[in-house]
Amino acid sequence: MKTWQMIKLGLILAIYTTVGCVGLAFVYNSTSKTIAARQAADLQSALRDVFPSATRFTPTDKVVSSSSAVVFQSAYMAEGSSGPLGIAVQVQGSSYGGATVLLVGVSTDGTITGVKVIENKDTPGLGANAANPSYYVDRATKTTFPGQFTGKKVTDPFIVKEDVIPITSATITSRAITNLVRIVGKAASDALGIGTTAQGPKAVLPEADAVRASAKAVSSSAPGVTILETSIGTKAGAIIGAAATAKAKGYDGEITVLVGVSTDGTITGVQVLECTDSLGGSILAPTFAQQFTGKKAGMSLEVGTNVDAVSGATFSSKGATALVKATADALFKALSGGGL
Amino acid sequence: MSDLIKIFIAAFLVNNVILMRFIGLCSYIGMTSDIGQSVGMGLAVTFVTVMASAVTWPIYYWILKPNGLEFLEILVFIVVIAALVQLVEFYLKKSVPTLYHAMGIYLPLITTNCAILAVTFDQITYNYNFVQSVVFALAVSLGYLLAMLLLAGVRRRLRNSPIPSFMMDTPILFLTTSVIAVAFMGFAGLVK
Amino acid sequence: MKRLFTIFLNGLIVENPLFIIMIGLCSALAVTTTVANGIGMGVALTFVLVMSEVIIALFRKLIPNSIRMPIFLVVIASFTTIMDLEMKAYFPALSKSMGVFIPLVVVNCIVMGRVEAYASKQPVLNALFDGLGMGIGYTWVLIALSVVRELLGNGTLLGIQVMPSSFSPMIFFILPPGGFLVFSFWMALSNQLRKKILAGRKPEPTEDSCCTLPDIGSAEKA
Repeated sequence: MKTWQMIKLGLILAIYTTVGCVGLAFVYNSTSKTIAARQAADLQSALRDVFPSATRFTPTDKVVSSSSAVVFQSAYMAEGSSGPLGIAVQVQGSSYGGATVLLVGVSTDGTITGVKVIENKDTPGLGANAANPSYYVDRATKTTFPGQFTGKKVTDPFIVKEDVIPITSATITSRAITNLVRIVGKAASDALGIGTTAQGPKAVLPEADAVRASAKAVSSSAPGVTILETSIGTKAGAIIGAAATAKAKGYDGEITVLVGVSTDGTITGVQVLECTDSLGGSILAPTFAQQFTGKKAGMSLEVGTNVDAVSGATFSSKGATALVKATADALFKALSGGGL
Repeated sequence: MSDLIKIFIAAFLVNNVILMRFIGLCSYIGMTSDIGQSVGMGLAVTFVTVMASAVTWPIYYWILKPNGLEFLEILVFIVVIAALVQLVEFYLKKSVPTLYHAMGIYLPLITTNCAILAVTFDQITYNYNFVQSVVFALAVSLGYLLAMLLLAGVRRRLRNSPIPSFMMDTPILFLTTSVIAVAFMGFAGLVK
Repeated sequence: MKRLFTIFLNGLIVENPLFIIMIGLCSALAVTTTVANGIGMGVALTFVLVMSEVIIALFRKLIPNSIRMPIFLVVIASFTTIMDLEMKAYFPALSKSMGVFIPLVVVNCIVMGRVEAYASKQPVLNALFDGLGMGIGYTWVLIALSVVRELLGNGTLLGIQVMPSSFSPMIFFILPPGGFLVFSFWMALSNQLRKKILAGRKPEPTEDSCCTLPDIGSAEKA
């Protein structure tokens, strides 16, 4: 009797559950088409916003993210009647309140054609203003936060509070979005074949009148530091210094720097070429790199004592400083030992 | 490891489930008139949340997702949690009577505690892997316990305080919570 | 007819789910940063509440008492999923801004509480009006909360600028502490109103089985 009762109850419950599941399956089938169609339409209209004159968008896989924390969800080649116009990338990265998704358009001449915030979970009234069409960072010209990127060059520094106006009280959101735009700009311009580092080693060897690639490779003894390319600067034929690009792990991405050292061990110039740390983009500011000029290879360089960190990017500042020091030391050793 | 610590701090303090996300408010107001009671409820929730997280993760990724049944998520999760609570109650009653006496009375209230269900949805939304999900569940529920304890402590003082008559009973509790929440806003930006 | 109307009115003030029975609080505070969200959540909950109450009242004789809880859960979860999918399809922006609080309707104590305390014992028509009353009682509170929060916190109502441009928004009201504060004052206000309405009458004790332990809970109230 008791078993029979149990089976009966189980059956009743099973009937209710089955009816529920079947009903849901029907609703799901009818709504899933609408949801998919709407998402496709939303994407199309966002693509049109960043490339108004494009006639066709074809998916492309040529654009590659340089950071593991930044995901390129999809990328499209925009084509107009007279050939390719540029690339639009739907990019996901993390911001204050979770994932943020943007659509960034980069034209073939290396200009940002538009930034659209597709998804943002930041604080309403603060970070969420990134997606608010009536929140202006510049009230006079009615420029929204993402709107200010339109027309910028991918080679611009993209530093919040310098060339990017932040959202009031939402610095983390502003930095996160700016960082995503910069990474997409760099990746898209690489895919489109536009160089972003125009000056090269000459910029950090101001005294040299000629710069040539070094035949010998220089390596650093510091762990985790990879020296990529070494160049020698000469003046009237005599070697006066050397420059190298070097790479190391930052906080959660990678940092690449270009360091120039003269034969007496003085650092003649530093450029931070790339930083894919999720919030470390601000160390690309020239003011950070300029502090190293005039310092000596071999001396200790430490954030907090003789190097100022960029606020909000202490880890990346420390990483970059250690990298500059390791590179300068290796170059000086190579120069004085005649290893070049 | 560092990402687990980040997840933990973010869920425990920065996005405290009650004070910052308002989830689990009913029991927060209903169960904090007594410190012992709030500890019991908090521990029971911690226990069930971690178990629910560990059970629903494989169900979603091994059963629902491969079969395209994601739309059954809500139905399956709530039924699984209800069944889990029943099982836990049954098991505790038989095998660990002392523990059952300590938290058994809270178990029936737990099925409808939104914090638990919210954790199981969030771990899917945030794409956490299994270990991250369990750490996240632990952090959220300990955050719940912390908030419960804070209010229970304040309530003890409130009992002997002169409160304006129109704010008597529950309104003053929300006012107090507002002040606690202001303090928790200070954790914003701690992670990331 | 008059009786049905009384049932309907009951949910609005006298037994308002948020202010009096104090259930379903999470979503009420979390989504009320904008009026649009408040209305959306109110409508969504009313839909799930009315549908679940009606279906359960209809089948109440076919639900064995010993397994009523799981069956209620299945019914409520089904309607919540339907509402979730429909919102994703037709109001994607609203659905995104409410996030996890839409699926959380399934454990919203208002639904479970009313189904258990009311719909499982009453005829369909009564359940329908109880659902509507409770749903609208919930919705008006959400709108009241969100009007204050959006107006003071953002200077807008339903996204339209209403405050003069010299007004600088007090972001506090949009942040969680502001939610608690606004709710606290609305609740105090509603309690005063209820005292006036019930002057002389002794209110029936309201029961809430899902958030407090029955014995200790009532002991504190008394």
